[in-house]
Amino acid sequence: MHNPPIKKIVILGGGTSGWMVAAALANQFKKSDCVIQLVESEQIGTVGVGEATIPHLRFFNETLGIDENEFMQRTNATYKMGIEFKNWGRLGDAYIHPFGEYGHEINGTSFHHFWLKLHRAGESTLIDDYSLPIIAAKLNKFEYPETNRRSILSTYSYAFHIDASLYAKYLREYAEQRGLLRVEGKVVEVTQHQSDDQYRGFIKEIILESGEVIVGDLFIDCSGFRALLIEQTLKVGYRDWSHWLPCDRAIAVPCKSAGELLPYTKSTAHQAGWQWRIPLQHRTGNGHVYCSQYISDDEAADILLKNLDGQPEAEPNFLRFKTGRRNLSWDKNCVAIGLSDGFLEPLESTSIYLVQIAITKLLELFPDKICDSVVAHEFNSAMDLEFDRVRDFLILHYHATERNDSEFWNYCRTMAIPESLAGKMALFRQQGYVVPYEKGLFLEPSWVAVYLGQRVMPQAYDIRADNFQIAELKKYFAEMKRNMHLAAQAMPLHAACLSRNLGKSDASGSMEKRQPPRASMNLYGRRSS
Amino acid sequence: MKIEKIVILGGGVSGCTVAASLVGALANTGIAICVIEPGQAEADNNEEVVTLSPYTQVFNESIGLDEAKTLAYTQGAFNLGFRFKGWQQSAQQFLQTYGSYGVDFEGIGFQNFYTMLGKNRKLENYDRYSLSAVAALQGKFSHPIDDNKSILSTITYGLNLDGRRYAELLKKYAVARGVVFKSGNIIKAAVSQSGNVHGIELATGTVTGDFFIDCSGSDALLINGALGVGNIDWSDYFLSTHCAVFTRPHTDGVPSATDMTAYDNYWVKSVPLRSHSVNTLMFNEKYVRVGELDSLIDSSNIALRPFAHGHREHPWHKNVIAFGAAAVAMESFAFSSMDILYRNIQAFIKLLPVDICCPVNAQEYNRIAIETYERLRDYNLCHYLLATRVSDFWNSGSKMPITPAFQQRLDLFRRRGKIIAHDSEMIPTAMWVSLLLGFGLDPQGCDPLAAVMDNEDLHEKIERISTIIARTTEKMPHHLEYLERYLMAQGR
Repeated sequence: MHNPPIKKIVILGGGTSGWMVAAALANQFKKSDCVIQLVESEQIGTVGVGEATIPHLRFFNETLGIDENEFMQRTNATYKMGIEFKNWGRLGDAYIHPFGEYGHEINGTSFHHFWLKLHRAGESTLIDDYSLPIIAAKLNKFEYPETNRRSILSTYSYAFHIDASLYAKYLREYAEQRGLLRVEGKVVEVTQHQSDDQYRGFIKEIILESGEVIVGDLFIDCSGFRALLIEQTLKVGYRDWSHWLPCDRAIAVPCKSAGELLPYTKSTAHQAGWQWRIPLQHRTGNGHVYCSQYISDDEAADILLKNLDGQPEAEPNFLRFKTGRRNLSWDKNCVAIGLSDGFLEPLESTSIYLVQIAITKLLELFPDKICDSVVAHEFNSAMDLEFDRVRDFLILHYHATERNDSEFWNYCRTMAIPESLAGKMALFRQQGYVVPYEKGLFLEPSWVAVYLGQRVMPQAYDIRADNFQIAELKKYFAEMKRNMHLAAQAMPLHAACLSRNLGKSDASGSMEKRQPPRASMNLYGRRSS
Repeated sequence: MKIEKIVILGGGVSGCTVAASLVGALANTGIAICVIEPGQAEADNNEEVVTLSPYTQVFNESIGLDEAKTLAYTQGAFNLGFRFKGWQQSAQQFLQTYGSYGVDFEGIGFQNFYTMLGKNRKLENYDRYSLSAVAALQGKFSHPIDDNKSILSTITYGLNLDGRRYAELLKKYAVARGVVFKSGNIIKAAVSQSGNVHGIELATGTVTGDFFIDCSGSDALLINGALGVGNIDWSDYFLSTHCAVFTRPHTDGVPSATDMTAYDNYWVKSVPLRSHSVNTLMFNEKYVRVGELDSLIDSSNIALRPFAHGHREHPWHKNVIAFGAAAVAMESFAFSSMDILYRNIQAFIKLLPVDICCPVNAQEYNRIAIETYERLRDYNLCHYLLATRVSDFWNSGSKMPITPAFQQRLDLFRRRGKIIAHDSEMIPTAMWVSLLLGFGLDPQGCDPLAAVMDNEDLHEKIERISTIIARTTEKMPHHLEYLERYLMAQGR
C-alpha cells in the first residue's frame, strides 16, 4: 500500500447512529491496531424516535454476532411483520405494507397482474388475502419464517419494534468490550489542517469543554441535526426536500400498553400529518408527525393525546426537522451518518436502515489516510441513490390520496412531485408495471402494496396474465388463500411466541423452542428466482 | 386500439429470437405473431456466428432447447472465454474467462489479495487462478460439476454457434407454436395518419398488424425507413470503420476459447466452431486499405462490410420497436449483440402494451435499452482505451471520450482494485476485474480490510489454488474429444 492507513477513528455523537457505527467498527477492527473513540455528552439528548425497524437490522446484528433473543430482551423488543396505514388513500381506508411478497410470480409475471385480471373481471377479492404476513398480522399471530423455499412459511420476513435508546446502550457495552474508548464531553471547537498538502481542510482535532484535544485520521459525524462536523465545520450544504415532504415537526410520547400485542406498526393519517403506534414489551411508543404550516403544536399534541391507547408515561417530547439531505455525506476525512446526513420521516421505518447501509458502504470503501475523493464520491453516489429512492417511496404515500378534507391533504394531492416518481406512477397506472431496480430498499412488492392500498388502480395488466383463463385463476387463487389462512391460523399469538422465544415462564412450558432463522438483506424473505 | 397481431420484420437470428421469446410468453393470449422474411437481402448482418454467453443460455433453457441438440445442429462448440494477444506493448497475453478467479476470503474479493501480495512478491498471472482460463489456454474442456467444494464447480462457459443454423432452430420452435412465417420482397411499409405503421406491402400482398418489430438489420426498414428515427453516431468511440469476415478450418483440435488478436493496424476476433473458425478483422480505412486485405488474410472468401457504430435515437417509436442491428451496432468483445437482445426482449415483454398508443411504455423501454447500449459501449471501448500497443491506429484509442460515471469506475479500480456493480448490470464484476487486470490496469491499493490479514498465510493459500488448478487441468480432456464424447452420449 502506498498511503498510510487510518490509525485513529473518532465518532462524534452517541445516539443510535453513533453506537451502531461504534459497534460495527469495533467488531471490524478488533484484530487491528486502529484506535476508535466515541465522543458524547450526557448533557445532549438524543432523538431516538426510530423505534420501528425493518428486517435488515437482523442482518446487522447477526454480523456482529449478537444473539437475537438477548437483543430482544435488552431492548424490550417485539416482532413486526409490516406497517398498517390507516386513512391514507381515503378516510376509513386501511392496508398493511407487509414484509413479504404477494402470492407467487408465474413464468416471470408478478402475482398482482393476475389479481388485477380477476379484479377487472369483477371478482371482489382482496390482494391482502394472498400475503401471509398480512393475514397473520391481522390475527395478531407471529412465527419465525422457514428457510425451505418451497414452504409457504418462507414467504415473509420480520423485524422488531425496539426501544432505540436501550439498543444504543446495548451496543455501547458491545463496543466497549471490544476496545472502543468512550470520551465524555461537549465539543467547543473543531480545527482543520491548514497545511498546503493533500490534507488541507481535513478535520484535525476536536476540542472539548474540559480542554481535552481529540485528534483523528477519520471522523464520523453522528452529531444528529446539529451536524457539527459535516455542516458547521465543512459546510457542505443541504438539499431541502420539504416541498415534497412538508411535515416538519413531531411530538413523541410513550403510553401504557393496552389490548393485545400487535405484530405490526400502525401509521394513522390525521388532518395535517400522521401518528405512529409502536408496541414494545413494556409500553407503546407513539408520535405525531405534522406540518406546522397547517396545524399548531397545541392542536397536534391534542390530537396525539386523544388517540393514545393508555395513560401517557412521560411528558411529550417536541422535535423539529427539515426533510432533506446533505449535499455530501462524505467530505474530506469526515463521513456523516444518521440525522447529520439527512432526514426522512419515519413513515416506513427507514432511519436505522439508512444508518446501516452507510456503515456497510463505509466498510466496503474504507479509506486510507488520504481519504481519496474517488472513494468518497463512490460512497456519496451510493447514499444518494438510497435516499432518493426512499424519498420517492415516501412521497407516494402523501401524493396517492383522494383526501380533500384539509388544506394539508389538498396540497399533497396536487403538489408537483419529482419526475422520477411521476414516471413510476404513470407506468403503474398504465398496466401495473413497477419500475425495476435491484439497488435500494423498496422493491416491487412494496410499491404494489402502497399503490393498491391507496387506490392507484392500473387501467390494464401485463398481457401475459391472459395466458390463463378466469376459471383457472379463480381456482388457483382460492387454494392459495385457503393455504395462507390455514398457515396463519396455525401460528401462535404474537405475545405467546414472544414469551416462548424469550424463555418467559407463562408460555414456554407448552411450546417447543425454536431458533431464529438466518438473516438476509432482504425485505421480503424468500425471493422468487 | 388493442394489440391482436404482432408482425416481426426479419427472419435472421434477432427476428427468430424475438419470435421464439414472444410466442413463449404469449402462447395462450390469443395474440397472433407473424414473421416476414424479406426476399431481397439477408435480414441481419454478421450471422456467420453467434456467441451465447452463460448469461444468455437461460433463454435456450426456457424454450426447451437442449444443449447437445443445439451444438450438434449448429456445428457449435463450447467457449470458456477470450484469449487476448498483442494488445499490450509487452508480449504478454491473458485469458478472460466467464468463470471465477481464486477464492474470496472472509467476504473480501480475491483480486484484493492478488493486488496486495503482488506488490512485494512474484505472483503468477491473474488468469492462472481460474480453472476456466488455464483449461482454455490448453484447449481443454469439461462441464462444471455440482459440488461447491470441487474446483470443477467453478467452470462457466458459453457457446459458439453457426448463426444461420441457430436461427433455423429457433424458427422451428416458433413455427411449432403457431408463429406464421412469410417471405417476399418488400415494397414498402404503410404508415397511417397517426404516424403508426399499419401494414407491410409485399409483392404477394399486404401483411397488416397492430404492432411491428423491426429486425431488418442495419437497413432498419421500419424504424428508420418508415418512421424516420435517426441514429446516434458512436464513431468517436470505436476505431474501426469496416470489418472483413472469413473462415478458416482448424488445423489442430478445437480451441475452447475465442481469440482476440491485435495487430499494428487492426484486430481479429476468431470464433471457433466445431470444424472451422469464423474470423472477423476489424479495421479503419485510414490505416488499412481494402486492397491490402488479400495480403493480410489467407482466404479466398472474404466478406467485406462497412461498420457503422451507434444506436437508434428511439429504439421504440410509435408502434414499432427495433432489435438487433436495426437498434444498435458496435464492435463486440466478450459480450455480443445477443446479450443485449435477450436482456432487452425481457424488458420489452414486461412493457408490451395493451394498446398501440403507449408513449409511456416506449419511454420506459428506451430508457432501459439505451442504458444497456451505453454500458456495453463503455465496456467495449475499454479495449481501445487501455491497449498499449504502439501505432497510429492504436494511439488514437487513448483519445476516446469517457463519461464521468465511467471515469469514476476506472478511477476507483485504479485506486482500490474495486468494481461496484451498477443497478441491474449486465457485465459481471469478475469479468470487469479480469479485463482491467489483463489490460495492465494495476491497482494502487486494495481493500484496507484485506491489508490486516496475514500475508504469509494468504500467500500459501493462493499458491495452493494455482497448484490445484494446474493439476486438475492436466486431467481434463481436450475440447474436441470431450465434445464428441458428449454429443455421442446424448445421442447426437
